[in-house]
Amino acid sequence: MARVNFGRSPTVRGWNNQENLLKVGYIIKFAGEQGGYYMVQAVEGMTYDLVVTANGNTAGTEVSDGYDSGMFVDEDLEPLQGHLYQLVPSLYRQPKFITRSGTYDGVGFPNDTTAVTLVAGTQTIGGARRDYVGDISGSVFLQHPQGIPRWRADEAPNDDKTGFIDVTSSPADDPNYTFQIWLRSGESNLPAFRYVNSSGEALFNPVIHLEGAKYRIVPLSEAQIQDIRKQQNGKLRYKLISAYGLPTSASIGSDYYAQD
Amino acid sequence: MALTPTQLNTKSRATAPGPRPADELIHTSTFGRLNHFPNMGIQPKRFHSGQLIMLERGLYRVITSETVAYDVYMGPRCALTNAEAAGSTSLELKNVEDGVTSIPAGTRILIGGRESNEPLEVVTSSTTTSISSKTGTVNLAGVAATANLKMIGTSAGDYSTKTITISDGTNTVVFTGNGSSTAAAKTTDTAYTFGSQSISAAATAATRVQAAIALAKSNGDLEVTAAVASSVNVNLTQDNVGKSGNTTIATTILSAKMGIDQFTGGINSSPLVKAFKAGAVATILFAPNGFESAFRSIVDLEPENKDDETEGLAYVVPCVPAMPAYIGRDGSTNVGVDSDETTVANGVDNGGADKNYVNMGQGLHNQTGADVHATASDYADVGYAFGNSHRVRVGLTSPKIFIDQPAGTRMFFASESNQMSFSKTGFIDAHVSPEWEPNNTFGLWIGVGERSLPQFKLLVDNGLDIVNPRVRLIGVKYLVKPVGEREVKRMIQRSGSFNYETIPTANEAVRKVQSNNAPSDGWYQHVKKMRTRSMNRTEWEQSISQVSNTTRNILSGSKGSSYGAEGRGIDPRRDHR
Repeated sequence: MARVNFGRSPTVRGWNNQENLLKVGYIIKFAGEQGGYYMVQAVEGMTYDLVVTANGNTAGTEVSDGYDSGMFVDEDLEPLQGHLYQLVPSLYRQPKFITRSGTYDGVGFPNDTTAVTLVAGTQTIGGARRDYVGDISGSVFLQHPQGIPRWRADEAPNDDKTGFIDVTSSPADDPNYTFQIWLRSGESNLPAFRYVNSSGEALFNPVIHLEGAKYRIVPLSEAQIQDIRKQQNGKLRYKLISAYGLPTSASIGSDYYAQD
Repeated sequence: MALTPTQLNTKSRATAPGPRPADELIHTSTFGRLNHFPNMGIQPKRFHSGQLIMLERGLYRVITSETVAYDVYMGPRCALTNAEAAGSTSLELKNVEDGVTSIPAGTRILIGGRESNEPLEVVTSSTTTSISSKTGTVNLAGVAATANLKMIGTSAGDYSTKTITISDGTNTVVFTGNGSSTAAAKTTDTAYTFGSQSISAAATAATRVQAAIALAKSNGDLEVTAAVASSVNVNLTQDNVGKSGNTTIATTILSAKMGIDQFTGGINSSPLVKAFKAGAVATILFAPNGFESAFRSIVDLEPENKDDETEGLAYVVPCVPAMPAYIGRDGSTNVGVDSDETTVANGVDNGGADKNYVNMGQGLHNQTGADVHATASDYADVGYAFGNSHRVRVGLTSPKIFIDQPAGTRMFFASESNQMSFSKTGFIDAHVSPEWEPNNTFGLWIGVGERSLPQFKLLVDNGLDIVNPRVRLIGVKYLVKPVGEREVKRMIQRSGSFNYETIPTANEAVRKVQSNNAPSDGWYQHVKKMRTRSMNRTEWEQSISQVSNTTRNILSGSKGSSYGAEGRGIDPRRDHR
């Protein structure tokens, strides 16, 4: 369905995604998992748009100020067995204006074709016009796995003042790899998102844009690991993937969490 | 005609012409480079000559490389219904792809050129073409520009000594109001008078101005036809079709006394230069909002298959051109390249005595001549102002591109999503890979053989019509040579190890199906390959293993290519026995 689209910003990327993606041949290991080395066998880019909608939309799929989607899961995001997704959530931008009269709260897209009345006397409003001053978006909160809030301060797990991204921190034209998520097969690995509109205006493109890569990973046998160690003079270089961020308070002291 | 070296005052000499003559260049509408970036952002990676790469078949060395650029035109496809001769100004199109109901005037249409020996031509539609039942007739005859003068002043003083300057693109004539006459008269080839004596109604003024322009036309001094309409309008039409007629009318008559709609709409005649057979494929270089193309294969992209032991390999990054997105001056969204010239409500004289003007530009508008108002008392009535209202560019928008590689295999999709639904996953747009910064993450490796060729699909769902829809491919083409076992051993003897980059080929892309016990190339291919051969346990395990040849190469470390110097003596039919 076509939505109102404001396009991308006229900029170039600050994040070099090539420095943040895995390459074919990389050996990886998942943090918190005993043993288990995998080799990246194939890499492919991936894009995904998670659209949130509100009941009572009048046109398109805009969501009004104060909209809260609640936590939701998209099951299409589950990778196949042997696949791994590395995705960066980001937000599409919406232009923000200050009106020609200087107001800015909830002004949307001001109409400059309304007449200003000039009373008696030589008067002019000069080149008065609205001004495009920046970009706004909704805020996105993440639970990964479901029930475990991410990106938030430990002491404020359920507070809206922490644990979110918006177009300032991760715009769709330059997704911020600091906020990347790793998805493995199995529904219990699916993330849950929440989209909140606290921008003060209706948002016309309420979409969480996910961009990154999907990988085919194959488990390496102990014999293969030993072969690789031999080839590399006893060393094994691998990348540790922390699929769920920091361990939660419940698992921090758990023996289940591997020390390596 | 091209200038000679002598004319150019250089030692340049003519070189062999390109494969297509200049009149077959693909002339398109473009918004150009929308922003300037000193370093062009992050650009595709390029391997250097001599660098080692690991393909599925083994180790290769890059011999040479060269950058490559390719535009894939993704507008709606159609075909010519009839054979068309050179000079034709009417084209009947058939089989126009779904989603197109009309083609705007000025749209470019690319005809032919699918094979190197097929003629190619780009024509421009002169008028809007309706598409019904997948067919439509495109007019190439050109359009003459039109304009309008609306007389508002009702007294001789509004026009006397005032001028109206009109150009037909070649000749320019100044018409001056003559307060001493009611008739038009010629002064010189470029100066005429119109009678402004005794004007007491706008309709009279319209008749007088029309008569003067008609006189200039009959004398051959101005190729413009004037006609009075609705009593106060003077409709002007250029006698010749073409853009050159989109001229500007200047006047010293106050805007409150005469309104001007400038000459617009002139489109050059674009008759066919070449002849085309019936059924010749055409591409409309315009995609309306909602258009979804079929997947298209571009066979040109296949690397050259050399006769010697080297082979071609291409790496291209698809990127999408953007077009500006605006917020309209009235705050409307989804605004493309629309006009800002339409009249705004209240944008008319409100009936005051020369004092209630509308300000659509910057600053207080300034009247000239006798109507200058310098004091506050001149503005005793209420007036209106709009400030500097105009549309505002807020972003760079684009359609979405979907890619299959090889044909039928979706790329960049979430595996669990509906592979036949093109909306939420697997797309590339200007956010993801803009033309000015191709995104390496979505690069495509194309080897020799049509099996690895990608296919492209376009979806316009951004709410705007797209002018010149296309995908740009930027990348590098390589000539590579297999590295044999002997050379691998030599490298290890010399330096102990060597570095290489791994290249995923098309059939090596992320596996699309979920299965643990089937050969990676599918049972059909596997059985075909193993026909008449017995299979030992190792071969069985390898065949159902999820480890690909590339990974085995990586794990085995130093394996050379099975093809090349050492492989030459091996009977290639061996694999098929």
